[in-house]
Amino acid sequence: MTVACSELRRAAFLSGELAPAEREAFDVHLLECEACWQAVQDDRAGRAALAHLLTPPTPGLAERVALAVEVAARTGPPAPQAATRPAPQGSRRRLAIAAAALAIVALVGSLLVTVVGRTRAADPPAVAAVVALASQRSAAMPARLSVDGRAVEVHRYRVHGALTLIAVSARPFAMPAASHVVSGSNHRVWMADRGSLGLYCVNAPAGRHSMLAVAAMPAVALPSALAALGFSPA
Amino acid sequence: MTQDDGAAEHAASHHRFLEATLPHLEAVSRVARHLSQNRQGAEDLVQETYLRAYAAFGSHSGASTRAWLLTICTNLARSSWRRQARRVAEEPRAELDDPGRSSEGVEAAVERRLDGEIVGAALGELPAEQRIAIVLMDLGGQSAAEVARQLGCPRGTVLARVHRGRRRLGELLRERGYDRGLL
Ligand SMILES: [Zn+2]
Repeated sequence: MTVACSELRRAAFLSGELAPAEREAFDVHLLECEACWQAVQDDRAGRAALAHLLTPPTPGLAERVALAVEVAARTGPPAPQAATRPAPQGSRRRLAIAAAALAIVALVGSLLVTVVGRTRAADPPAVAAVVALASQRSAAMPARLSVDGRAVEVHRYRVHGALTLIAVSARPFAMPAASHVVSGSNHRVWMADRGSLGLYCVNAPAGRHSMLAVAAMPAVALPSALAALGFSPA
Repeated sequence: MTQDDGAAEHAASHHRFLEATLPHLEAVSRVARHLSQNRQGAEDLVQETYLRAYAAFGSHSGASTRAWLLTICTNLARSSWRRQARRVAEEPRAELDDPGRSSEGVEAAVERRLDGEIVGAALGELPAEQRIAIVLMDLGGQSAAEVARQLGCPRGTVLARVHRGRRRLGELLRERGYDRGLL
Protein backbone atom coordinates (compact mmCIF):
# COMPACT_ATOMS: atom_id res chain seq x y z
CA MET A 1 0.00 0.00 0.00
CA THR A 2 1.35 3.38 -0.91
CA VAL A 3 0.28 6.79 0.30
CA ALA A 4 0.65 10.15 -1.35
CA CYS A 5 2.78 12.95 0.10
CA SER A 6 0.75 14.94 2.55
CA GLU A 7 1.91 17.46 5.06
CA LEU A 8 -1.03 16.66 7.28
CA ARG A 9 -0.22 12.99 7.22
CA ARG A 10 3.41 13.73 8.08
CA ALA A 11 2.25 15.93 10.94
CA ALA A 12 -0.08 13.22 12.23
CA PHE A 13 2.66 10.61 11.86
CA LEU A 14 5.11 12.74 13.83
CA SER A 15 2.68 13.37 16.64
CA GLY A 16 1.93 9.65 16.84
CA GLU A 17 -1.65 10.01 15.80
CA LEU A 18 -1.84 7.67 12.84
CA ALA A 19 -3.63 4.39 13.28
CA PRO A 20 -1.24 1.41 13.17
CA ALA A 21 -2.09 0.48 9.58
CA GLU A 22 -1.68 4.05 8.40
CA ARG A 23 1.59 4.34 10.25
CA GLU A 24 2.96 1.25 8.57
CA ALA A 25 1.94 2.57 5.19
CA PHE A 26 3.63 5.88 5.93
CA ASP A 27 6.80 4.09 7.04
CA VAL A 28 6.92 2.45 3.63
CA HIS A 29 6.35 5.80 1.97
CA LEU A 30 9.23 7.30 3.93
CA LEU A 31 11.60 4.77 2.43
CA GLU A 32 10.62 5.83 -1.06
CA CYS A 33 10.09 9.55 -0.70
CA GLU A 34 13.16 11.70 -0.16
CA ALA A 35 11.11 14.86 0.47
CA CYS A 36 9.06 13.33 3.28
CA TRP A 37 12.12 11.64 4.74
CA GLN A 38 14.01 14.94 4.97
CA ALA A 39 10.95 16.71 6.34
CA VAL A 40 10.62 14.13 9.09
CA GLN A 41 14.32 14.35 9.91
CA ASP A 42 14.12 18.13 10.14
CA ASP A 43 11.02 18.00 12.30
CA ARG A 44 12.72 15.63 14.71
CA ALA A 45 15.85 17.78 14.78
CA GLY A 46 13.75 20.85 15.48
CA ARG A 47 11.86 19.09 18.22
CA ALA A 48 15.07 17.82 19.81
CA ALA A 49 16.54 21.34 19.70
CA LEU A 50 13.49 22.69 21.51
CA ALA A 51 14.53 20.63 24.53
CA HIS A 52 17.16 23.32 25.11
CA LEU A 53 14.35 25.74 25.84
CA LEU A 54 12.77 23.63 28.57
CA THR A 55 14.36 25.76 31.21
CA PRO A 56 13.13 26.28 34.77
CA PRO A 57 11.61 29.61 35.75
CA THR A 58 13.98 32.39 36.81
CA PRO A 59 14.86 32.01 40.49
CA GLY A 60 12.47 34.12 42.55
CA LEU A 61 9.73 34.27 39.94
CA ALA A 62 7.36 32.07 41.94
CA GLU A 63 7.85 34.31 44.97
CA ARG A 64 7.31 37.43 42.91
CA VAL A 65 4.07 36.01 41.53
CA ALA A 66 2.89 34.88 44.96
CA LEU A 67 3.67 38.30 46.38
CA ALA A 68 1.78 40.07 43.60
CA VAL A 69 -1.26 37.87 44.18
CA GLU A 70 -1.00 38.36 47.92
CA VAL A 71 -0.93 42.11 47.48
CA ALA A 72 -3.82 41.97 45.02
CA ALA A 73 -5.78 39.91 47.53
CA ARG A 74 -5.21 42.55 50.19
CA THR A 75 -5.70 45.69 48.23
CA GLY A 76 -8.00 44.98 45.34
CA PRO A 77 -11.37 43.41 44.93
CA PRO A 78 -10.48 39.75 45.34
CA ALA A 79 -11.53 36.93 43.13
CA PRO A 80 -14.29 35.39 45.09
CA GLN A 81 -14.99 31.77 44.43
CA ALA A 82 -18.76 31.77 44.41
CA ALA A 83 -19.27 33.05 47.93
CA THR A 84 -19.13 30.12 50.29
CA ARG A 85 -20.80 31.98 53.09
CA PRO A 86 -22.56 35.30 53.36
CA ALA A 87 -20.14 38.10 54.07
CA PRO A 88 -22.12 41.11 55.15
CA GLN A 89 -20.22 44.29 54.43
CA GLY A 90 -17.79 42.19 52.43
CA SER A 91 -18.21 43.73 49.04
CA ARG A 92 -18.54 47.20 50.48
CA ARG A 93 -15.32 46.74 52.35
CA ARG A 94 -13.59 45.40 49.25
CA LEU A 95 -14.69 48.42 47.30
CA ALA A 96 -13.48 50.63 50.07
CA ILE A 97 -10.14 48.89 50.04
CA ALA A 98 -9.83 49.38 46.30
CA ALA A 99 -10.89 52.97 46.60
CA ALA A 100 -8.34 53.60 49.25
CA ALA A 101 -5.76 53.20 46.52
CA LEU A 102 -3.25 51.73 48.87
CA ALA A 103 0.24 51.86 47.57
CA ILE A 104 1.42 48.37 46.88
CA VAL A 105 4.34 47.41 48.96
CA ALA A 106 7.00 45.21 47.52
CA LEU A 107 10.67 45.27 48.10
CA VAL A 108 13.94 43.63 47.60
CA GLY A 109 16.41 43.24 50.40
CA SER A 110 19.43 41.17 51.06
CA LEU A 111 19.56 39.02 54.14
CA LEU A 112 17.81 40.41 57.11
CA VAL A 113 20.14 41.23 59.94
CA THR A 114 19.61 41.22 63.64
CA VAL A 115 19.27 44.58 65.25
CA VAL A 116 20.19 44.49 68.92
CA GLY A 117 21.02 46.86 71.72
CA ARG A 118 19.92 50.00 69.95
CA THR A 119 19.28 52.90 72.25
CA ARG A 120 16.32 54.93 71.16
CA ALA A 121 12.73 55.36 72.13
CA ALA A 122 11.08 51.97 71.81
CA ASP A 123 9.16 51.33 68.61
CA PRO A 124 5.40 50.81 68.83
CA PRO A 125 4.78 47.17 69.79
CA ALA A 126 3.44 45.96 66.43
CA VAL A 127 6.37 47.52 64.56
CA ALA A 128 8.87 46.14 67.07
CA ALA A 129 7.33 42.67 66.75
CA VAL A 130 7.72 42.62 62.98
CA VAL A 131 11.28 43.95 63.16
CA ALA A 132 12.11 41.28 65.74
CA LEU A 133 10.67 38.63 63.47
CA ALA A 134 12.86 39.88 60.63
CA SER A 135 15.91 38.84 62.57
CA GLN A 136 14.69 35.29 63.15
CA ARG A 137 15.45 33.47 59.95
CA SER A 138 14.07 30.25 61.35
CA ALA A 139 10.69 31.71 62.31
CA ALA A 140 7.80 29.72 60.86
CA MET A 141 5.87 31.55 58.16
CA PRO A 142 3.33 32.85 57.68
CA ALA A 143 3.35 34.06 61.27
CA ARG A 144 0.25 35.28 63.04
CA LEU A 145 1.12 37.63 65.83
CA SER A 146 -1.15 39.06 68.42
CA VAL A 147 0.16 42.40 69.61
CA ASP A 148 -1.81 44.67 71.91
CA GLY A 149 -4.94 42.72 71.08
CA ARG A 150 -4.56 43.17 67.34
CA ALA A 151 -3.80 40.51 64.76
CA VAL A 152 -0.76 40.94 62.50
CA GLU A 153 -0.13 38.46 59.73
CA VAL A 154 3.43 38.23 58.48
CA HIS A 155 4.55 36.58 55.26
CA ARG A 156 8.10 35.97 54.17
CA TYR A 157 9.08 35.95 50.52
CA ARG A 158 12.26 35.41 48.65
CA VAL A 159 12.20 37.95 45.88
CA HIS A 160 15.05 37.59 43.42
CA GLY A 161 16.92 35.69 46.07
CA ALA A 162 16.29 38.15 48.87
CA LEU A 163 14.30 37.62 52.05
CA THR A 164 11.41 40.01 52.48
CA LEU A 165 8.79 40.36 55.20
CA ILE A 166 5.35 41.76 54.56
CA ALA A 167 3.13 42.34 57.57
CA VAL A 168 -0.56 43.00 57.16
CA SER A 169 -2.96 44.18 59.79
CA ALA A 170 -6.49 45.50 59.96
CA ARG A 171 -5.14 48.33 62.09
CA PRO A 172 -2.53 50.91 61.11
CA PHE A 173 1.08 50.52 62.20
CA ALA A 174 1.80 53.44 64.49
CA MET A 175 4.69 55.57 63.33
CA PRO A 176 7.85 55.16 65.41
CA ALA A 177 9.50 58.24 66.86
CA ALA A 178 12.58 57.83 64.67
CA SER A 179 10.94 57.82 61.28
CA HIS A 180 9.73 60.20 58.65
CA VAL A 181 6.46 60.75 56.89
CA VAL A 182 6.46 60.16 53.18
CA SER A 183 3.23 61.48 51.82
CA GLY A 184 1.95 64.89 52.80
CA SER A 185 1.40 65.79 56.39
CA ASN A 186 -0.63 62.83 57.57
CA HIS A 187 0.95 59.72 58.99
CA ARG A 188 -0.35 57.38 56.32
CA VAL A 189 2.95 56.43 54.72
CA TRP A 190 6.13 56.40 56.72
CA MET A 191 9.65 55.06 56.49
CA ALA A 192 12.26 54.28 59.06
CA ASP A 193 15.69 52.71 59.26
CA ARG A 194 16.68 50.29 61.99
CA GLY A 195 20.35 49.49 61.57
CA SER A 196 20.59 47.77 58.21
CA LEU A 197 16.85 47.19 58.03
CA GLY A 198 14.60 49.51 56.11
CA LEU A 199 10.93 49.81 57.07
CA TYR A 200 8.27 51.06 54.72
CA CYS A 201 4.69 51.32 55.85
CA VAL A 202 1.48 52.16 54.07
CA ASN A 203 -1.36 52.74 56.52
CA ALA A 204 -4.99 52.67 55.54
CA PRO A 205 -7.87 54.32 57.37
CA ALA A 206 -9.38 52.23 60.15
CA GLY A 207 -11.09 49.09 58.94
CA ARG A 208 -8.84 48.58 55.95
CA HIS A 209 -5.63 46.66 55.72
CA SER A 210 -2.33 48.35 56.41
CA MET A 211 0.99 46.93 55.41
CA LEU A 212 4.50 47.10 56.76
CA ALA A 213 7.44 45.89 54.70
CA VAL A 214 10.86 45.10 56.14
CA ALA A 215 14.08 44.25 54.30
CA ALA A 216 17.79 44.89 54.56
CA MET A 217 18.07 48.03 52.49
CA PRO A 218 17.73 51.72 53.19
CA ALA A 219 14.07 52.59 53.62
CA VAL A 220 14.40 55.30 51.01
CA ALA A 221 15.31 52.65 48.41
CA LEU A 222 12.13 50.68 48.96
CA PRO A 223 9.79 52.56 46.61
CA SER A 224 12.15 52.15 43.65
CA ALA A 225 12.73 48.50 44.56
CA LEU A 226 8.97 48.28 44.38
CA ALA A 227 8.96 49.77 40.90
CA ALA A 228 11.75 47.48 39.74
CA LEU A 229 9.58 44.53 40.62
CA GLY A 230 6.90 45.76 38.31
CA PHE A 231 4.45 46.82 40.98
CA SER A 232 2.78 50.16 40.78
CA PRO A 233 0.46 51.94 43.17
CA ALA A 234 -3.02 50.48 42.89
CA MET B 1 -14.85 39.87 64.57
CA THR B 2 -16.24 40.17 61.06
CA GLN B 3 -13.12 42.04 59.98
CA ASP B 4 -10.91 39.06 60.71
CA ASP B 5 -13.39 36.66 59.17
CA GLY B 6 -13.19 38.69 56.01
CA ALA B 7 -9.42 38.68 56.08
CA ALA B 8 -9.37 34.92 56.60
CA GLU B 9 -11.65 34.48 53.63
CA HIS B 10 -9.34 36.52 51.45
CA ALA B 11 -6.37 34.52 52.58
CA ALA B 12 -8.14 31.22 51.97
CA SER B 13 -9.14 32.31 48.48
CA HIS B 14 -5.70 33.39 47.36
CA HIS B 15 -3.99 30.41 48.94
CA ARG B 16 -6.36 28.14 47.04
CA PHE B 17 -5.57 30.05 43.89
CA LEU B 18 -1.81 29.75 44.33
CA GLU B 19 -2.06 26.06 45.17
CA ALA B 20 -3.96 25.47 41.96
CA THR B 21 -1.82 27.63 39.70
CA LEU B 22 1.79 27.71 40.92
CA PRO B 23 2.45 24.11 39.79
CA HIS B 24 2.05 25.44 36.24
CA LEU B 25 4.49 28.32 36.63
CA GLU B 26 7.14 26.47 34.66
CA ALA B 27 4.89 26.05 31.62
CA VAL B 28 3.63 29.62 31.86
CA SER B 29 7.13 31.07 32.19
CA ARG B 30 8.44 29.09 29.20
CA VAL B 31 5.57 30.17 27.05
CA ALA B 32 5.86 33.78 28.22
CA ARG B 33 9.59 33.72 27.56
CA HIS B 34 9.05 32.97 23.89
CA LEU B 35 6.04 35.19 23.40
CA SER B 36 7.97 38.18 24.78
CA GLN B 37 10.80 40.29 23.48
CA ASN B 38 13.06 39.79 26.44
CA ARG B 39 13.38 38.31 29.88
CA GLN B 40 12.03 41.34 31.73
CA GLY B 41 9.00 41.46 29.48
CA ALA B 42 8.49 37.75 30.00
CA GLU B 43 8.48 38.07 33.78
CA ASP B 44 6.04 40.95 33.60
CA LEU B 45 3.84 38.83 31.34
CA VAL B 46 3.93 35.95 33.83
CA GLN B 47 2.96 38.23 36.68
CA GLU B 48 0.18 39.84 34.67
CA THR B 49 -1.10 36.41 33.68
CA TYR B 50 -1.35 35.36 37.33
CA LEU B 51 -3.02 38.60 38.37
CA ARG B 52 -5.62 38.30 35.59
CA ALA B 53 -6.13 34.67 36.44
CA TYR B 54 -6.59 35.51 40.11
CA ALA B 55 -9.21 38.11 39.22
CA ALA B 56 -11.04 35.51 37.13
CA PHE B 57 -10.51 32.55 39.44
CA GLY B 58 -14.14 32.51 40.48
CA SER B 59 -15.22 31.69 36.95
CA HIS B 60 -12.55 29.08 36.28
CA SER B 61 -14.22 25.72 35.83
CA GLY B 62 -11.19 23.85 37.08
CA ALA B 63 -11.01 21.74 33.93
CA SER B 64 -7.40 22.25 32.87
CA THR B 65 -5.74 24.92 34.94
CA ARG B 66 -2.63 24.90 32.79
CA ALA B 67 -4.59 25.41 29.55
CA TRP B 68 -6.61 28.14 31.25
CA LEU B 69 -3.46 29.99 32.37
CA LEU B 70 -1.82 29.62 28.97
CA THR B 71 -4.93 30.99 27.27
CA ILE B 72 -4.74 34.10 29.45
CA CYS B 73 -1.02 34.41 28.82
CA THR B 74 -1.43 34.08 25.05
CA ASN B 75 -4.22 36.64 24.92
CA LEU B 76 -2.19 39.12 26.98
CA ALA B 77 0.83 38.64 24.73
CA ARG B 78 -1.27 39.18 21.63
CA SER B 79 -2.84 42.37 22.92
CA SER B 80 0.59 43.69 23.83
CA TRP B 81 1.79 42.95 20.29
CA ARG B 82 -1.15 44.87 18.93
CA ARG B 83 -0.24 47.79 21.18
CA GLN B 84 3.34 47.78 20.01
CA ALA B 85 2.13 47.70 16.41
CA ARG B 86 5.63 47.33 15.22
CA ARG B 87 8.11 44.55 15.27
CA VAL B 88 10.97 45.44 17.51
CA ALA B 89 14.24 43.76 16.73
CA GLU B 90 14.90 40.84 19.04
CA GLU B 91 17.03 41.90 21.94
CA PRO B 92 19.94 39.67 22.67
CA ARG B 93 18.89 36.89 24.95
CA ALA B 94 22.27 36.81 26.61
CA GLU B 95 22.02 37.54 30.35
CA LEU B 96 24.42 34.82 31.38
CA ASP B 97 23.64 35.34 35.01
CA ASP B 98 25.08 33.01 37.58
CA PRO B 99 26.31 30.35 35.22
CA GLY B 100 28.13 28.70 38.07
CA ARG B 101 25.09 28.52 40.27
CA SER B 102 24.33 24.88 39.64
CA SER B 103 26.61 21.96 40.30
CA GLU B 104 27.27 21.21 36.65
CA GLY B 105 30.21 23.60 36.38
CA VAL B 106 30.55 26.95 34.74
CA GLU B 107 31.62 25.73 31.33
CA ALA B 108 28.81 23.25 30.91
CA ALA B 109 26.30 25.78 32.17
CA VAL B 110 27.48 28.43 29.73
CA GLU B 111 27.42 25.93 26.89
CA ARG B 112 23.94 24.80 27.73
CA ARG B 113 22.87 28.39 27.97
CA LEU B 114 24.38 29.19 24.58
CA ASP B 115 22.56 26.25 23.02
CA GLY B 116 19.38 27.75 24.42
CA GLU B 117 20.32 31.13 22.92
CA ILE B 118 20.87 29.65 19.50
CA VAL B 119 17.66 27.65 19.47
CA GLY B 120 15.71 30.55 20.95
CA ALA B 121 17.01 32.90 18.25
CA ALA B 122 16.05 30.46 15.50
CA LEU B 123 12.62 30.01 17.04
CA GLY B 124 12.24 33.78 17.00
CA GLU B 125 12.76 33.78 13.24
CA LEU B 126 9.82 31.53 12.49
CA PRO B 127 6.58 33.03 11.21
CA ALA B 128 4.48 34.06 14.19
CA GLU B 129 1.73 31.48 13.73
CA GLN B 130 4.22 28.62 13.62
CA ARG B 131 6.18 29.98 16.55
CA ILE B 132 3.09 30.40 18.71
CA ALA B 133 1.84 26.91 17.93
CA ILE B 134 5.23 25.42 18.81
CA VAL B 135 5.57 27.44 21.98
CA LEU B 136 2.12 26.43 23.21
CA MET B 137 2.50 22.79 22.31
CA ASP B 138 6.18 21.88 22.73
CA LEU B 139 7.15 24.36 25.45
CA GLY B 140 3.76 24.63 27.14
CA GLY B 141 3.38 20.85 27.12
CA GLN B 142 -0.14 20.94 25.77
CA SER B 143 -2.06 18.73 23.37
CA ALA B 144 -2.91 19.88 19.85
CA ALA B 145 -6.57 19.99 20.89
CA GLU B 146 -5.84 22.40 23.75
CA VAL B 147 -3.77 24.63 21.50
CA ALA B 148 -6.48 24.55 18.84
CA ARG B 149 -8.99 25.88 21.36
CA GLN B 150 -6.60 28.61 22.44
CA LEU B 151 -5.90 29.72 18.90
CA GLY B 152 -9.41 29.21 17.62
CA CYS B 153 -8.39 27.05 14.69
CA PRO B 154 -8.81 23.40 13.75
CA ARG B 155 -6.63 20.83 15.40
CA GLY B 156 -5.18 19.76 12.05
CA THR B 157 -4.06 23.34 11.46
CA VAL B 158 -2.18 23.32 14.74
CA LEU B 159 -0.43 20.06 13.87
CA ALA B 160 0.50 21.38 10.43
CA ARG B 161 1.85 24.66 11.86
CA VAL B 162 3.86 22.84 14.49
CA HIS B 163 5.27 20.48 11.89
CA ARG B 164 6.16 23.30 9.50
CA GLY B 165 7.75 25.27 12.31
CA ARG B 166 9.80 22.41 13.74
CA ARG B 167 10.91 21.50 10.27
CA ARG B 168 12.05 25.04 9.55
CA LEU B 169 13.79 25.13 12.91
CA GLY B 170 15.65 21.93 12.09
CA GLU B 171 16.60 23.37 8.70
CA LEU B 172 17.80 26.67 10.15
CA LEU B 173 19.98 24.92 12.69
CA ARG B 174 21.37 22.54 10.08
CA GLU B 175 22.18 25.43 7.74
CA ARG B 176 24.04 27.11 10.54
CA GLY B 177 26.03 24.05 11.36
CA TYR B 178 24.61 23.62 14.82
CA ASP B 179 23.20 20.22 14.18
CA ARG B 180 26.18 18.24 15.43
CA GLY B 181 27.25 19.91 18.61
CA LEU B 182 23.75 20.82 19.56
CA LEU B 183 21.57 17.89 18.82
ZN1 LIG C 1 6.36 12.00 0.47
